[in-house]
Amino acid sequence: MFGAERGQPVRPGPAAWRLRVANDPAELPRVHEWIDGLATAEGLASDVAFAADLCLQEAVGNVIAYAFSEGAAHEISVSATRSGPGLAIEVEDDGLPFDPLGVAPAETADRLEDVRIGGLGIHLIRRFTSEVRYAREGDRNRLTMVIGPEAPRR
Amino acid sequence: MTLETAELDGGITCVTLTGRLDIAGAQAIDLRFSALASGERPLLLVDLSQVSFLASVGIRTFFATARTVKARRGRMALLSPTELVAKVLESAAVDSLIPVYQDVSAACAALQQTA
Repeated sequence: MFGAERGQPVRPGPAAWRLRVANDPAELPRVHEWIDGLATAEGLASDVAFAADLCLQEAVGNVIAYAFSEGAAHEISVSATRSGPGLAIEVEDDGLPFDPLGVAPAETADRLEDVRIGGLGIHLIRRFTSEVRYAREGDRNRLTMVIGPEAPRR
Repeated sequence: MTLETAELDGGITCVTLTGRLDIAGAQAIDLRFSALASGERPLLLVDLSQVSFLASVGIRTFFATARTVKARRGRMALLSPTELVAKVLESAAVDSLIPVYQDVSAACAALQQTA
């Protein structure tokens, strides 16, 4: 088992990395620094690290943009846990009920004039995760994203 | 993110972006990028070889710039994205609307076509 092979105390599963950020776009670089450090510490493959970085920028960016209405300060919780060679990420907030997966998927346009940008962030999250799900629990939104060993998903 | 320009033969402006094209990066380049697209018949070659990251906001910037370029009867092409950035472009089907090249000669030849 992971811990025993290193001669360290055995844990009941991989430990979670955690981060809390305010609902402010200026926090997004800090989210990147966090996942960057985590990726190095965990020895994640570069495509997994990139996918995690991208999905977090899109997911946390969406929460900051859409989950809060009244201008008050809120906290967004991010956690990540190894899932084999991949990563399971959760983004939680106490904002308005906001299911990003409920946004209609962005359609590919044939002409530049017809490109619709709404939902593009969620579209990228879907493409770069092997699994994504949303739940509303009490007064919290939770978005779970699993980055598989091969990203992006076809 | 930084933006630098160089003039190539045939009136092509090579725009070299360096760094992360995330929300902060897009904000850093938006004004200059749209100014470059607003000339008369702009020929823009956007060198992405030094771009380490691309999010949806960056794709929005590319589409908005490409629309402006098209309205000014110019052309735009993207050059040499890294493998992971190329996957983002492909996921958003950018390459179906804005040509992407790995070779600068091919990109310049395409930008200079009069057809």
